[in-house]
Amino acid sequence: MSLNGWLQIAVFIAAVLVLAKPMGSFMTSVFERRRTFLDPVLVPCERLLYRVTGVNPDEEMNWMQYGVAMLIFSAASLALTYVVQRLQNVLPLNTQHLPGVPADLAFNTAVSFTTNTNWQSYVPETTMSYLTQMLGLATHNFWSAAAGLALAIAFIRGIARREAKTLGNFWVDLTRGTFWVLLPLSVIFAMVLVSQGVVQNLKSYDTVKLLEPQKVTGTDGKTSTVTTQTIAQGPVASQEAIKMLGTNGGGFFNANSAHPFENPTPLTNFLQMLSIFLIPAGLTVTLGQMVGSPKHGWAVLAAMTVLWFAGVFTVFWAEAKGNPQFANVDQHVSMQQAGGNMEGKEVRFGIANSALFATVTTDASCGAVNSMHDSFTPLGGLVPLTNILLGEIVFGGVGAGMYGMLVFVIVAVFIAGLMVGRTPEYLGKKIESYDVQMAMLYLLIFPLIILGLAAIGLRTPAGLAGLANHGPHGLSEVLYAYTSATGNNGSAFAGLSANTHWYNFTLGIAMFAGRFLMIVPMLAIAGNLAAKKITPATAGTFPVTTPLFTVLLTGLIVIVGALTFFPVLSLGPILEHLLLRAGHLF
Amino acid sequence: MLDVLAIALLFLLFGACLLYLRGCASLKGGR
Repeated sequence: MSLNGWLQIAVFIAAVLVLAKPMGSFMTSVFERRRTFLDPVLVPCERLLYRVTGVNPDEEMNWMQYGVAMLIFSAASLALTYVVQRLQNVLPLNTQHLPGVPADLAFNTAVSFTTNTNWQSYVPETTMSYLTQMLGLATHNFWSAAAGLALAIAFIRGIARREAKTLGNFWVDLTRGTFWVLLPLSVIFAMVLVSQGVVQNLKSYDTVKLLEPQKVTGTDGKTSTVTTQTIAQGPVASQEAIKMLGTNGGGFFNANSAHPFENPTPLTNFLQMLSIFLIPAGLTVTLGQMVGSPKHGWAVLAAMTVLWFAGVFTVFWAEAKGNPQFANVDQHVSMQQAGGNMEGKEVRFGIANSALFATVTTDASCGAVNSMHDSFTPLGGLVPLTNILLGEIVFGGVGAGMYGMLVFVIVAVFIAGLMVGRTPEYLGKKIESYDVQMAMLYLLIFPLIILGLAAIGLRTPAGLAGLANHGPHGLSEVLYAYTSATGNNGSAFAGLSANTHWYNFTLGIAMFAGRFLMIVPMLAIAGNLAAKKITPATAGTFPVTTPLFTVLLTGLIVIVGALTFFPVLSLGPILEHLLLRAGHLF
Repeated sequence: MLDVLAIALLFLLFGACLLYLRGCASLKGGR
């Protein structure tokens, strides 16, 4: 590990923590419908939209109405993406004359982008037309993030309100999240990306002559000489900005943020990572402000930061240490080389920025990658996998991370209440059996889907057919795919050929269930909390603003994750690590 | 054929989700 690397990581987290307060305060103003500097431009647009769509912005919804509105919106936008993909061959802006997307892949991709997962079983530049990328996919980057943001705000209102039946209006929250938060940030970020060299055009792909023709051996064993190269391009910057800000992660190109047209410079790399954490970090401040306890927001942010540090330290250490099988090779960092395990990493980013990117993208539910997680050392690859398995609540996805973390807070407060023998209270709200039932439903559905589908995949020929590696590494590849899908992360461990009927349908089901089956109990808790009275705090009330609370919350997240997933992790990356040290490669 | 399967699956998933929502709500009402 180099000092230079640690300095970059320190600058990154400092920037996240500094930006959390202004970002959070702005979102509080947006969702509490206070005046903001964007109102003169955006309020007329908002009013026009409500008039056209027939939405009454003053009409409040209870938790069930809020949930049904979210489901209707998701179903309609999912259908649009499915149709656009299937018909892209007859729709405009198909400069490469690409055929319609096959039905199973269109299903998988439509579910993927609707659920903020952005799992990609396809190579975008050879599969999706510009219209599909813009109308079918980039729009979902806004909508799915705005829906997540709306749901988190609804949960926070559930905590903040007293004896209320409603949580807000889904359509208003969706609109304000898109207009005030995601669109302005995306426009500015896209401009910055263009200034750094990210492509933004609607041109056909260019074909250029190679300076040095290459001899290539095909899968049929025949050797041919390649003299030209196709340069894929398109409306990249506009999709790239929201891909990171909305913690979506679906790349315009197959190589994602490792591609120089998506992520050309160290500055864009830094800003991409920063934009992943920007809104989730801000939401902790929004939480504190909206519930009237800013210190509680900081305590939650502290728990997230501790877990983030544990992750980035482990990946950086494991990758900088390198592969023990290359003990005789110089793997030390120097002026001439990045050192450590550089397989699957961009030389221009090196170990530190690859380790940090991998940690950030899986702490949040982003899934963009600037290095290939499949090529990490077993312990390095264990961290991204574990981050997703913990529920992506370390900063987390836009909105989804916050409401996931709040479910853990409910359970932490409940356990603290059990330990001291008092009725658990969370910010003056008594936590009762229904709240805990729904919280446990939320926590149990997640491993049930991942472990159930991974087990079926590992026992069926269709599931095993896609594997590139055997042994514990093969298990990790299948486990990672279902974990990434269910966690709505979307990053791939690679090494798994997932564009098959089996994986397209089962991963689609995992993404759907991992999003919507978890949102419903979360909203049920929010609705139940909103209806409760506020009980004044007494000496026996467990404070949720102290370092003790941060330690309890962090410990609970680690223990729940470890108890649930340690057995399967011990058969995958942990076993691979031990066997690697004994000289076995997979 | 796969179109029919994909669309049927989507209807099934969203339908199941609505039932699940009602189930979660009735758990509260039933106590």
